[in-house]
Amino acid sequence: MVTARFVPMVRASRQFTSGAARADFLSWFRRNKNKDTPAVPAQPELQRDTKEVISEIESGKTTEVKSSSVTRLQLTDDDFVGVDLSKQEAQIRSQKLATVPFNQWLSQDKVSTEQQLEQVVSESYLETFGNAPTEEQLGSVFENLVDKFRFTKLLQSKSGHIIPDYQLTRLQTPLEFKSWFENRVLSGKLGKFKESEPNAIDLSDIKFPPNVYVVPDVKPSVKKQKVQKILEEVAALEAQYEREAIEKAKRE
Amino acid sequence: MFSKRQALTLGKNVRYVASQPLPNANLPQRYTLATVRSFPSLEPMTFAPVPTSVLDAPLRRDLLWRAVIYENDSKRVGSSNPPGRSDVGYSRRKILPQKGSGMARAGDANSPIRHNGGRALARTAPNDYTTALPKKAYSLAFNNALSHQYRNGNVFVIGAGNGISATSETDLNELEIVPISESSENGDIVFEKFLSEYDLKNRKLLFIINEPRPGLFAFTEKFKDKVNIVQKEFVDVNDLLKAHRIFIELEALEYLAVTNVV
Repeated sequence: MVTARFVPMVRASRQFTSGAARADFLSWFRRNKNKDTPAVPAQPELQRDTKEVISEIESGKTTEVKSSSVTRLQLTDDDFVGVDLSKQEAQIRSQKLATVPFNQWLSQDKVSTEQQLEQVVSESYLETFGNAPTEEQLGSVFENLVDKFRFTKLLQSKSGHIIPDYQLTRLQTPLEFKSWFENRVLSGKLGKFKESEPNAIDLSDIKFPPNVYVVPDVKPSVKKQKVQKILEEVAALEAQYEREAIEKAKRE
Repeated sequence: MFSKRQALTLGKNVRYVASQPLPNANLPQRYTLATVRSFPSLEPMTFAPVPTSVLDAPLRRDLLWRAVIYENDSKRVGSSNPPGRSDVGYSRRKILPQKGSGMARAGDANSPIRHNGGRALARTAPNDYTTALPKKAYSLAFNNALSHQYRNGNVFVIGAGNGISATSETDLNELEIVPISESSENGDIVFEKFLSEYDLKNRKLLFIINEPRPGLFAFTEKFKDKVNIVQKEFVDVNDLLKAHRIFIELEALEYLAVTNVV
């Protein structure tokens, strides 16, 4: 005989929130449970009868409280419930990261157009050899490795892209470097390159007949965002249905 | 037909021609260039010619496969300790007489063919799974793995410039990290800056060092899941293949090139 088991359905939902969830609310008490609180020293001038103090105030005499006799609690941010130290630390760290000295030899402006590339190539040539290049000179092989090194270093620093060593070996003339940049960087190949799928064939620019549909490539981060959004919408709808059901039951 | 003398001369000539390269064929390149860089900015300092057998060897997946299996077998340790026929503990008495019982011949109760008998081919822990691989095959595989990473632009050689370029004040010519000032211990910020500058967060990084680098060890602690620091003597093919980027000191590269000559 088959018996059906009763499985209670438990639904957790957060409907009313007044602020960000603090996961470590109770841990704050635990943290501070055995904390040594500084013993307040006895202050004889404050240990007076209340009536005495009232009469003194009423008579017009002002009582000065010496600042040295007042004990101040040495509180840090960690003593306040709701203060997230990790967030503050992250903020401080990001500030430090922005100001730490670093030898930025690569240009922050990446080459993105044909004109920029031509300018960068001719500038690098000019700085290496001391004269503006002609078409013939751009197509001629480097005479020695020192010239090649100086030219390629300038080209990399001005263009903002590191040229792999394998290509540095194979490419022999400034023109070949320029065409490598055109094929690799300006064509968008570098931007589309995925390390997880290095041999992937890019079909996005190829025209197909209308009966062929190529599924567009979506980045994992975009996929994650979309799933998160859908889940949030589902949670909101469920909460709304529950609220409506409760209100309906109350009315009936 | 040829006389004996003619045949001998012809044979000599054939041998001579075969030992020469084709007259119009290009010889394969013997050296490839590696850019020597400073660390952590990766600014180029100079070029270093490296033999193509080390950094530009043609890909041999079969060798890589054999080397990876060999290494993983060597790392394997088993704790299996099954009792053999001498460990089970039954009597060595023959269960049945050899003849006349009508049953099949049987030895003692410890026999592996009997229920509750000992285990055939028993072993003792730690079990040894190591396999053998010729040293030449391993060296070829090592160079292959390094070459594969080099061709994909993932190898960065760190070293000095030899006067062509001056090293920046914030850089070093070895794989080491020093704090910005002596009073502060903010070397980890420098390393984090390096990671963010070259988009290397969440990438597996392999640092092959020539000698112990305490600063590198200390300040990469926060990123230890992704950072693998190995001294040159202990690098293996698995390390090379699993890394997304390899940072290797020039001296360490020289050492590996010499030790893996085939």
